[in-house]
Amino acid sequence: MKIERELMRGAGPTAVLKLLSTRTMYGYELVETLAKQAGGVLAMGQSTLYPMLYNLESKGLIEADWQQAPSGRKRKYYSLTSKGKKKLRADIEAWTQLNSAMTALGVLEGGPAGVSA
Amino acid sequence: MSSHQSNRTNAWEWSLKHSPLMHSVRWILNRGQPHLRTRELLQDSDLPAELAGLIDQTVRRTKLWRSERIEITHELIAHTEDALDSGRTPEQIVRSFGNPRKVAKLLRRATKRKRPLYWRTLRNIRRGVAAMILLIFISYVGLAARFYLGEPNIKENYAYAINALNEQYDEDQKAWPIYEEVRAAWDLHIADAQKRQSEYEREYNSTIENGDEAISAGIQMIPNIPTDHHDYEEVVGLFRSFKPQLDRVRDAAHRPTVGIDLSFFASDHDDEMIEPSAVAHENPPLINLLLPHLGTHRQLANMLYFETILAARDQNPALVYENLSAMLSMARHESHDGTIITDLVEIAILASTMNAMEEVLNEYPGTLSRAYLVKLTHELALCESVIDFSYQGEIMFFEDFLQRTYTDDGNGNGRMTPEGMDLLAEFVSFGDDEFGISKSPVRYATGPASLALAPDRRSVYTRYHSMMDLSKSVKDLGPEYLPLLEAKQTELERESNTIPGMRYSLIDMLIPALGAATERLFMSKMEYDATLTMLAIEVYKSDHGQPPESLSELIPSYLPSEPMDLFDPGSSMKYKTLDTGYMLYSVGSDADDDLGAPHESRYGYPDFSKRFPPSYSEGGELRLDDAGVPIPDEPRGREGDWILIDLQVDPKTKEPDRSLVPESIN
Repeated sequence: MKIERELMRGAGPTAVLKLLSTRTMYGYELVETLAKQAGGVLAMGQSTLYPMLYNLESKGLIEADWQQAPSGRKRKYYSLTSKGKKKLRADIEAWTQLNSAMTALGVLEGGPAGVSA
Repeated sequence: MSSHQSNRTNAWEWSLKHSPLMHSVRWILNRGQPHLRTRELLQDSDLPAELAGLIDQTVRRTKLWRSERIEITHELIAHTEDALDSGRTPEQIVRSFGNPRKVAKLLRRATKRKRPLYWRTLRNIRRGVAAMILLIFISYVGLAARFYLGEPNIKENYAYAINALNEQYDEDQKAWPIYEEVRAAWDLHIADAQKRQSEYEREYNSTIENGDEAISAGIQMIPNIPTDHHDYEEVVGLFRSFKPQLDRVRDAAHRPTVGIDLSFFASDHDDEMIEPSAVAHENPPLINLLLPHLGTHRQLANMLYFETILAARDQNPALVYENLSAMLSMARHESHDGTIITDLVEIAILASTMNAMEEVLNEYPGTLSRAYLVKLTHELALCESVIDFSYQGEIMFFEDFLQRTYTDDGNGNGRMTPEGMDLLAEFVSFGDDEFGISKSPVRYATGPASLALAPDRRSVYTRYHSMMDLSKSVKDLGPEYLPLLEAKQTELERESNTIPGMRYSLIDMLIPALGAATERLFMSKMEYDATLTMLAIEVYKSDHGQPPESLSELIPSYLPSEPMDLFDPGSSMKYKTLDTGYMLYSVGSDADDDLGAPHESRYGYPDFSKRFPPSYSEGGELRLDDAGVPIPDEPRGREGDWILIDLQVDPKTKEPDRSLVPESIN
């Protein structure tokens, strides 16, 4: 399933922040993890991921650090900043409310019978 | 394991390749060109060519800083290598990569957001400046369109209208044709003598030692050539042989109008003159109108003055009277141009006539009979209107200037035009435009700015007329009101020195020197009243054998009222009889009656601005009394009185009676 660009623009950063809240990750790792954990819904290529990461970095929500893997390959690892943590909490709250609203409207399962899409 | 995996560098190889030392070596080898650097990185990565090319193409398109491109290249290489490691094929990776152009654009935008604060600040400033320049440019283009589309609407044809007034007169009612002929004839008549006298003057003056006085050619000193001047007899001879022509001048002076058709110079470089056209916009600005008759009037009046003295010496009372009468008529000639300069020339001719009268009565007593004195009194009384300004000419010049400079919205307002700019440039450079302002590219570039800087038509009109109206009021009220004029001029000057007021600077140049001209009017008024009184006293003397004890004895049979001393508001002119004659004088600018002790110079004029110096409040406001009259400061004029008439028959007794003068003056 392909997510519309506008939806992706809203959900993508929150998803990335959420993943980085568990541990530091490098770019490809983020792509892979997103694809696996979100069942492919939030799959994104380099063209989407890196601009997104750079934007989050410019806002001070994540920070990057070049590290050398045991294989010798140098990768840029991203981690959540304290500002990023706050933002993630706020995003989760917003998504929860959105979810409730959509459920109440019957857009999501668990809403009023006969009105779900 | 894919083939490219087998080629992967191990950890120490990667570290060596990316060590600072190797980076420096590659940097030097690549002569500092970043794209070579990123390409080298890609070559070192051992990625398949299509993937390396894709990354290279994308990164180069970002046009980011070198360090940013290197970092992105590193990250994309690592990402791609990870993808290959996880089993993706190059084709899959290329497909999921997206359009390099769009990716480059997204990367560029996102990376720039990470740039340091100073860079973003500078970028915002640059953008702000660029936006401002664009805004200014667009505004200027709009302003330029508005400026260059503006055209003056020349409705009034002042020059043509002035000349049209001559059409109501027949040719034999016009004095100018005679004046012009006589002047030309005089120039021819004196040509040889003038040349000879001028050469002698030049030769003599070139040989004089320090301390010796230079001389002037006698012919140039008319009417004040001394009788002991070496050219005197020759000049007298020239006058006697020119009498028939002077008879024509005397006749012409009694004609009702000058009747000159005024002209313009055809161009700045040509002496040819052109008549005003009936089509207003074809005419040059009125300010270029020539007034050649003024010089001729002065010259002919001076010649009549000289002949008057000759006639008095010859005991020819009829010719003395005819000359004085002709000079008074010349001063009364109707002048259609109405300029202050013309008014001042008329006043000057009147002053010359009055001087001639005093000189005749003083130096040649008894020449003029009672009948002649009465006739001259009546004729002088008709000249009261000469001592006035109509301001009409000045206002015409100004309004003509305005109609040629501004557009006309039909409601008295308008904006500066390109023609107006040129006219102002000419005006500033006195018609020569020696700086070539009107045709320079600077003028075309800066012209539209004048729309923003120049005041609009209505405010220029209001400013000019506020000054003229005030001047008219002061002229009618009296010299004690002159500080109002001075304060107003000071206010305008002060305003012109401020940034917003500077835009009026050029326009203010069009306002004549009203203070000085008005002051001159008051002085002339006093000289006029004194001369009328002198004639009345002379008639009284004919009747009673001696002058009156006081001026009140003249009222009403010889004079309607006593003349006023404008330096002593509310008081009459001072009158003093002496054994040898009498004096009429004013207290002068020190406001003290010094009993007729004069200033250092008999002809030195007192100064109203020193008699009524303005006083200002602490806030800089002109102090006025409840009636709106300026409260003057202490008089600052020099001591001594202003002697208006000093008529004593014996020159040896000309000195005033010093015994009557306070010690401080003696």
